[in-house]
Amino acid sequence: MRQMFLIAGKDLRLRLRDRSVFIIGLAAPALLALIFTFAFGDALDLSGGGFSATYGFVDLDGGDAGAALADVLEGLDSSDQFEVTDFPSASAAEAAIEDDEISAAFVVPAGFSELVGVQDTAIEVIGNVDAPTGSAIAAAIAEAYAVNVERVSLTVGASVAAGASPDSIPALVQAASTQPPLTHLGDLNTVVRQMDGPTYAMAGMAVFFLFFTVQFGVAGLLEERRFGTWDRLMSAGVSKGTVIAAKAFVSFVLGIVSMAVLMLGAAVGLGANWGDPLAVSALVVMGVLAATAVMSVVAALAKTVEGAGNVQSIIAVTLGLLGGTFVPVAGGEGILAKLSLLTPHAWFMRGLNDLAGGGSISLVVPSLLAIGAFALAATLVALWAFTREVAA
Amino acid sequence: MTNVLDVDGLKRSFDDLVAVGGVSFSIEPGEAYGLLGPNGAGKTTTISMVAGLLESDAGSVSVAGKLMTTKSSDAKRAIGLVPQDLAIYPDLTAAENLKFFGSLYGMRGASLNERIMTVLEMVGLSDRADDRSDEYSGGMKRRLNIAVGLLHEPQLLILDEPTVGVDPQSRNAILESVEGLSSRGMSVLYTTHYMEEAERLCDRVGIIDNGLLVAEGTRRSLVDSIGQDDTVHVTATGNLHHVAELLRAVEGVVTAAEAHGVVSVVVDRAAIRLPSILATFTEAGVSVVAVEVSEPNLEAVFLHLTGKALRD
Repeated sequence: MRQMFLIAGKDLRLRLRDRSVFIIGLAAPALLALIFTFAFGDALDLSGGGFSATYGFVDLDGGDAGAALADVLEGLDSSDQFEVTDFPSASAAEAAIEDDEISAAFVVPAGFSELVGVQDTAIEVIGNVDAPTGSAIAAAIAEAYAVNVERVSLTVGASVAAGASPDSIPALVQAASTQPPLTHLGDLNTVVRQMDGPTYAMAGMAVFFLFFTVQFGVAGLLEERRFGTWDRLMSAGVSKGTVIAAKAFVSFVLGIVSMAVLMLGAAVGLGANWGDPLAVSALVVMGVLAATAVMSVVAALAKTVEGAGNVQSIIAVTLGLLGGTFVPVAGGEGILAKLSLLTPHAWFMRGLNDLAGGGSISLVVPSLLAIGAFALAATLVALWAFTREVAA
Repeated sequence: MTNVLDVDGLKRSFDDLVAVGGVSFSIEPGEAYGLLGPNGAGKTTTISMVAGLLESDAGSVSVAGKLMTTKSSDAKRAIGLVPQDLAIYPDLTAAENLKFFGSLYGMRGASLNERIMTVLEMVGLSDRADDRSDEYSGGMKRRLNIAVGLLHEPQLLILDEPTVGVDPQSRNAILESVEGLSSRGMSVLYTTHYMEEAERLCDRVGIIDNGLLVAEGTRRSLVDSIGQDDTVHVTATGNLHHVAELLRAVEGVVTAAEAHGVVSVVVDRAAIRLPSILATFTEAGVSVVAVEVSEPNLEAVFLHLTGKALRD
């Protein structure tokens, strides 16, 4: 054990002397996370937390249907996340969009109330290309409203066809329109468990670069051979297992320190809320173990430091992209979303997402088990590869 | 008195290639033993088994009475290894390198620091102790490589061709460092393909070729074993392989071999045979550039025993 710590101590000294570990392990992920936050913060933000939008409303109809939409938007206006401003014309609303004053505008065309159910008509939503999320939400609101209007129209039409008297039509309209809406706009902060944009960016970059950072440890195995010191260590009575354990230990320490500094830095500097510390720590430890195991496989099979570095980079980038460290891919129905679940990155991000809405370690047990399984499988492969190497 | 090293019937093959085919020798306390042979003779494979880096197919190695295998930590503590290639960390200083390796042997504190200064003085690097080793010249790195092997005061220091690729000045410094070891009671196993180094440093020499120890003894006994033949070295240009073949048929020539533009001819009396030797070069259409006659030495012994030049 003493020899293992001596070798690990020497390696850590070498790594700290070689400043690239600071760049890969700390500077690069922090810088990229900041860039992502500023450039794509809105797109990354799936939580609704911190999201806000200002909408324009243009009522050229002046009838009941337009007034009903105005009521819906008034309800939005009373929330903290939305603000609705009336505009006299569509062109005035477009001008406000051009000036980035509003995220989207609802335009109720003239005669809308009279034409509903009689012939084709539509509420127009004018989106702002610079506010894709806000525009998408506006389109969804308009669509939900249109479905509601259509339901009222169908109810009345069917009642009349069934012999309802014209006097009863106002009561039918009232009854149909007071049915619970098919679409409900609830409080996004409480129904969606997602990290906010800056937190997502930092988490993604931290785990993405983690797989590069741990290379500095296990790649030391190949460096011992390159420096010729492997034979020296063996002739000093150090076992191969001790050397391998020392390298894995260095990877683990570098990974933990990198993740801890980045996540604590994000909490202090960006206000990131990671959730329950114990659960987050468990995720980090399991993630670092998985990264160390994966990179150990490469180090065991590679012949040179350069070759190992290339393969490790390819694996780190592939797993990182697939695992949704740059943009979210997990949680959907597509093939990419399913494939992402084969990466420890996706489970790590999923675990942090689960914790973002509060809760304890029990919430992330599936993520911990998945990452643990990944780590175990990679460790077994690495041990097989090392054993084969030793036997050779 | 117990030998520091006993090697008995050591064999090792790599697939169909027999690298070491049954080597036996021993080294007494304080003795410097040289393994002399050309590249590919089996020296490094032998060293690797002696140092416990490689398992043997057959035979045994015993260091200070302890059986050496790849897992023998006790036997390994009795040896200090100076590998053929550098085995130091370039990003650490000389002192840091020594401190790390010393710690692996259980050394620590003031005694370790004192020992570090001692070995650095022995190899002439005490004034550069705090410089990173990647700032050293090639010769200085070689000397640090030796210092690491000496650090824990092993009973047996194994040096595998420590002067390969070293400039003459550093080479001399390395040889001086090694010369003093025997007087301190340390046994030395030294492999080389430089005859002069073996003659200068070693009490006894084993001549190894094709994985076999073809002769062993003191320099004097080895030279005496081939008689009092002289060696004529002829530097020439042309088909030297052909002329070497012709020379073997010349009266008085024991053997002849060509290597690197030089034809080495072992002959019973150089002064008498020289004219016919040179005439053979002329007949073969080979231009002679220089001629050097030397008295019997280990190179002549090797040539005599194997029919090959040592630096083949």
